[in-house]
Amino acid sequence: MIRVENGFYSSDGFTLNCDFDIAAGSFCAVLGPSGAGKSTLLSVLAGFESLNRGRVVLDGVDVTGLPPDQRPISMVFQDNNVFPHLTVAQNVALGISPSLRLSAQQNRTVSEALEHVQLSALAGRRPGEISGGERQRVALARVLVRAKKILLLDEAFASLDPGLRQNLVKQVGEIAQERKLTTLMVTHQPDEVRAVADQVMFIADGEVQPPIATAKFFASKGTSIATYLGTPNFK
Amino acid sequence: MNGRRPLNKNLQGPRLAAQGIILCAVAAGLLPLFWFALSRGGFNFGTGVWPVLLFTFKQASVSTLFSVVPGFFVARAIARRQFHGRTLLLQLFAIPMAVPAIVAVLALTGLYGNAGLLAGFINLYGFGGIVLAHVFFNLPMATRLFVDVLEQIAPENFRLAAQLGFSDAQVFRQIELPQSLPAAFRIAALVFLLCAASFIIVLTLGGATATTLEVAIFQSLRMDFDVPRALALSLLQMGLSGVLVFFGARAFNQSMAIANLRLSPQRFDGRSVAARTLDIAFIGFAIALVLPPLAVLLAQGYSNVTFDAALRQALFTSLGIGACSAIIAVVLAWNLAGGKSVSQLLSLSALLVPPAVMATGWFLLLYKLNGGVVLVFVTIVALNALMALPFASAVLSPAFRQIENSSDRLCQSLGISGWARLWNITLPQMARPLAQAGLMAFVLSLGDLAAVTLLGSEGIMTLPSLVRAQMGHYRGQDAQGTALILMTLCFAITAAAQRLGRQHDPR
Repeated sequence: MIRVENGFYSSDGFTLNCDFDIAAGSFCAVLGPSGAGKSTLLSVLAGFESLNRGRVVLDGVDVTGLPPDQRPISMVFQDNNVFPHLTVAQNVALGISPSLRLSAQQNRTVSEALEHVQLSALAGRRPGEISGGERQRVALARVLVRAKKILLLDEAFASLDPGLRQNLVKQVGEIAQERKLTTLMVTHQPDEVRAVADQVMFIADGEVQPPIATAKFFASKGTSIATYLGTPNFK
Repeated sequence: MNGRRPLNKNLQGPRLAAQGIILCAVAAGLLPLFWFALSRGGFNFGTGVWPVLLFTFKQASVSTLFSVVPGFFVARAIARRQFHGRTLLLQLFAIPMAVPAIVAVLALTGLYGNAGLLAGFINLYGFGGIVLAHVFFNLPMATRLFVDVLEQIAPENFRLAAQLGFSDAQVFRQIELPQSLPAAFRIAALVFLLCAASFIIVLTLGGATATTLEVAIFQSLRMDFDVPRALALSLLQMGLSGVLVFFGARAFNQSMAIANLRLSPQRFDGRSVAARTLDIAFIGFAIALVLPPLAVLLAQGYSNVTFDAALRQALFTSLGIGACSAIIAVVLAWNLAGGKSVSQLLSLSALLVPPAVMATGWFLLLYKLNGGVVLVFVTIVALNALMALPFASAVLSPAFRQIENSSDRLCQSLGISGWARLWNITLPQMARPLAQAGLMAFVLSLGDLAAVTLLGSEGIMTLPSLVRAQMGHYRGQDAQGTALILMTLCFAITAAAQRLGRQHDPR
């Protein structure tokens, strides 16, 4: 469950108002024009930025003043989700222990996670030797071992080829369902939203609009949403 | 982009000419010495050569260690904190780059010397003083380079670390160390090179026992006239420089390119009291190293500035030498800018071949001409131009490549080539880097004492050599006044150059 109460964020003339509630287990897409504050919202939830006013409540706990590592969150960025000098397995293991000291049981957890995202064969490779899609799957494996209840995806698949992107989005949808994660996914791709999201949150003009059902979102007419989405068949 | 093909083929002629001129200058330095040595029994690797090599290694290693390791931690303290005066602090660390070696020696003497405020703190004459002077120059430079490296780390790395609950030590081990280690080797190689080739500092602070290769070459040529020994020393110095230039060249270019601060990644580490204390201690230490000598010189020199005839004469001579050298250095750098490895190597020739060797070779070739002061002036200008060339090239070459690359396709499709392209496309865009390179070459030649020491013992008095002469004749106060004028001049020009650098930087 993700709730922001009377949230207000401002920095260098940029402002963002947010007040919303996302139910536990929901998969919510975050859409909006570039620079509207989608990444800022995720940073506020993750604890990289703090609100000037208001509260952040995650799974019933007020985390407003807590540092990032004490929040029940895993995050996947567009790039740089892995450390280049560590192996694939080590990068996943960081999700369990930052000092990389793992028990035998924990090592098995890492292997299972790698198997889950079809990376077992690459466990000993370094990020420089695998593809961009595989690197994002390493990040997903780390999400699995961390077992946090909230998943934030910040344009996590934006730099991948269309086919690969579809596969990974599908995989994320499955993981979210299996593990009963509450997921927020920032994206620019309507097809991704249709494929996995049950609701959509739209951000524009410094306002985070409360989430609405995906079907309802795509049916919006004559609003800033319609302008953002453009004409369906591009005439 | 198209690194294999030299950019803009129309520049090939002038480029060959520039390469030829530099090759001739280097050959004119080396060949007479080789000929002379071979006719007198070859090289002499005998007595006195190895202790010099050993001392060179020792002082350069210790100087490098004390510059690079604390430099990294000072940089980390700056990189992971946001505080008032952060930009000012980085500007303070840019100052030593503009301080001529002889001015630094005088400033350090004013603070730590026998009559200084902190007399007895360290023995300036010998090993300790040489290391201190080298650290004064190189720790701030290493700090700036490391800040640049640390600020290039992807912000996501620190966010991930914060989310996964990394401790400060883990941030250091998994992020900062692996991502700055390659740069650390380059920076160490560069600092080692600068310390191993340092001439004026070792000459003035070294005394009889503390002698490095560069100074020993000068002494064997000019005092003992032992050419075989000088050649042996030169070969060692060239071998050493070759290895170091190979590893340090990239850090050298980077050191010229830092003109402004990029947006630094947000950091979540270093919040504990211990980390804070450590950072404050490192920053305080660096400030204590850089600021007091300069402040003392400022305070002492201020009341001792006297514009007498000797000073005016020296000022004009320095400005003349500086201007001529800067023009030659920039013209050479410009013509080499688009070139490949041969051009790049030649632009570094003054770092590879000891200036003391080149100066002596030229002297052997030319002394029969009886050219008098004019000839001395010309050779000083030439040597200064060669010594400033690496710096001018480091500014011009990247700017030239970037501009040529970005306009290459468009120029080809529009059929703009040759002089039209040079005048209408390239030169207007290169105006700022050209001015920046020129000012930097100017300031280096203005503050240089090596060329005058090597070539013009009589007849020519520049500002730096006036400072040295006044120091030598126990006219310490006059020296401080002269040094202050020289330093102010160098600051003003460097500040202008850095301003230009900031403005043409597209970020």
